[in-house]
Amino acid sequence: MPSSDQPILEVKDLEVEFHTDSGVVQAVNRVSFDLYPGETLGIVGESGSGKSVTNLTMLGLTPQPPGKVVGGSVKYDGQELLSLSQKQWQNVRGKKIAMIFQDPMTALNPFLTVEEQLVEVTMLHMGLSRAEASKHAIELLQKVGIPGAEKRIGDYPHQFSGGMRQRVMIAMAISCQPDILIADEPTTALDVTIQAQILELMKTMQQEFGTAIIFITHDLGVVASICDRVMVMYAGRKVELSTTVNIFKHPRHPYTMGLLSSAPRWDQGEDELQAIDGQPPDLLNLPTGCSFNPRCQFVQDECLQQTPPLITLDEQPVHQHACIREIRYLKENR
Amino acid sequence: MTTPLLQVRDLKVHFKPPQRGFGKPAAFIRAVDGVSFDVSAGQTLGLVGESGCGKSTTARAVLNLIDNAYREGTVHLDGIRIDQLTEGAMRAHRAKAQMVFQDPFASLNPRMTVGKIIREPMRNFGVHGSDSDQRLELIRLMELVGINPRYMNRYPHEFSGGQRQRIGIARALAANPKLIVCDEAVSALDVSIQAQVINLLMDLQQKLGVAYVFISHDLAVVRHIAHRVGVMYLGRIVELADSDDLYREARHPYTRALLSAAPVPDPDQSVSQNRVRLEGEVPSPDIEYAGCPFADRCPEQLPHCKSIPPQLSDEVHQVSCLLYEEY
Repeated sequence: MPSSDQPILEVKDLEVEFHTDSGVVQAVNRVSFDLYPGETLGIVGESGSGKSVTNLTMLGLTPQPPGKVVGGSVKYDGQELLSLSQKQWQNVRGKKIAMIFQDPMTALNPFLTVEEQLVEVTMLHMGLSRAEASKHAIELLQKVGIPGAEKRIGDYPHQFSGGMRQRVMIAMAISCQPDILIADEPTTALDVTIQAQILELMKTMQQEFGTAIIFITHDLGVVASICDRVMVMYAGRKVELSTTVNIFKHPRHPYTMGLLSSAPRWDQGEDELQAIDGQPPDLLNLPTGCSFNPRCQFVQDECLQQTPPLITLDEQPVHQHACIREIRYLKENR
Repeated sequence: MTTPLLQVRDLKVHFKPPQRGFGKPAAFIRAVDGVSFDVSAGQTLGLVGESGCGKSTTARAVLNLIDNAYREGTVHLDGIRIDQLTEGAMRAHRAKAQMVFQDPFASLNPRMTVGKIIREPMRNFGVHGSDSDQRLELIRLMELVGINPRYMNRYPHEFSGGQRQRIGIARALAANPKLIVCDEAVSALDVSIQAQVINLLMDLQQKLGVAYVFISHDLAVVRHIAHRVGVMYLGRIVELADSDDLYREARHPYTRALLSAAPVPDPDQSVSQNRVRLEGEVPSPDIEYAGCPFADRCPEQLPHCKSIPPQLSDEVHQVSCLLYEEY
């Protein structure tokens, strides 16, 4: 739940390009959103929607080249992040904004013990001595539910199972009590029972520290169970943003509707899934007008000509969307 | 009752791990430990379970695709016992059972055109003899899976993940199989594309009467596609029932835990009321259990669970749990 009116993170008109051999790809196209302390914002989208690039940019980790931030601003607690030097970034990354990656095996250093990796963070950011940092590290491992933390702390990442490794990642991410935690598909590689444990752990940590979480995933079930608000992205753009209940119960963008009706549910047995026709967008070759128009079942002439603007109506809770047809419908029915 | 298309009885596959240094030899990994099921013609059996439960090994063992392992049990395909056949003798039966793999990037040869890829099984198994017949069949198959036949001379990298999976399905169909084993066939696809491929598979079953063994970790996908579903844990089937029965009235405590851990895309349902929480993780498969392998993690453990092995019951809704047995 948003516990404060002041956003901790303000992203405005963010634009990121990738320069490839076959042309320029607009990976993130004028994306804006706010993140409030203590809330969980879900970012949903399929491959190539720009969700991961958006979040790498917020940590100053866009691979440059080929990537390039060409416009917009990202403000953390009022401070512009995009103009930071590499050195200044080090005071933000890990300390104020931390990240959990999908694959803990590649995100952890295989040559260092878990202890060495955990103490490095706190010694650097919090100025702890080695002994203090070790003690702190053991407490963290206990907190994230690793049995026998005192013994396991000397182990190497490969000695842990996938779920346990993700717990180590979470311990590392929360070690400096960051204000913002960015989780990029943190449970996608895990089995469902382990996923449930990790989601629960993240919720508990959030309640304890008041951390704001950005949760990137393609799994709508996970979104429904953990997020307060949801932003839907398609082909580099934000196409819809509102509360989780609004997005799932009253979706306005045809892409969001399609996504919801194509997700199978184990608690319902209807026979045919309503798939979205067509192929995922080719970012090098986007259609003119709305990027979703080749796959949209409600497509109209206008959609082929102009890119729909993002519309924010005067309503509570805020429900933004970018669809020309829907806005006309809403105006007529109000 | 008619004989099922595929009949598997007491299948066991135990791998010997590589010897590390000296010392006592490592224990066998009991990847599949006594699995029995039937698949009727034109039906879909789903196998679900978490990583390491043996669902993929089961599928491969059924198709005789496992070497260097200790095997036990029988497999009958279309009335013929195939588990003891040599590689050469098995060849005659390979056309009947084909496979679709998880990774549409790794499972298509990048140096062959799509037309060549789909025609390869026709050549291998001598179906549709003449060149012109094969060409006609290629066009028919491409249309059937929704790929424009004009693209037959393109290479796999020119297609998206979903299209590539359609090509993999066309290749499996080219041999005219009665059974297709799909190993996580839609797991790597985006939701919107995944739904297209699931619908395609169901549509093909209606048109061609092909049976599937559909392996997935995704409970929701399996509910959609399967007529019968088997839930696996540590190399065994703990529950096997008609899809609707299994999801509505799961009986095994593991199935119930698995279902309550699987999130539903509905904010009203996300806070599950009677949620079964499972502690710990799946233990290593190299232990031989006297009783039920799930007993240690089971929220409903009975005093005898660790000593008396549960038997898979004989009803339509089969469950392997002492809660439902008289012992």
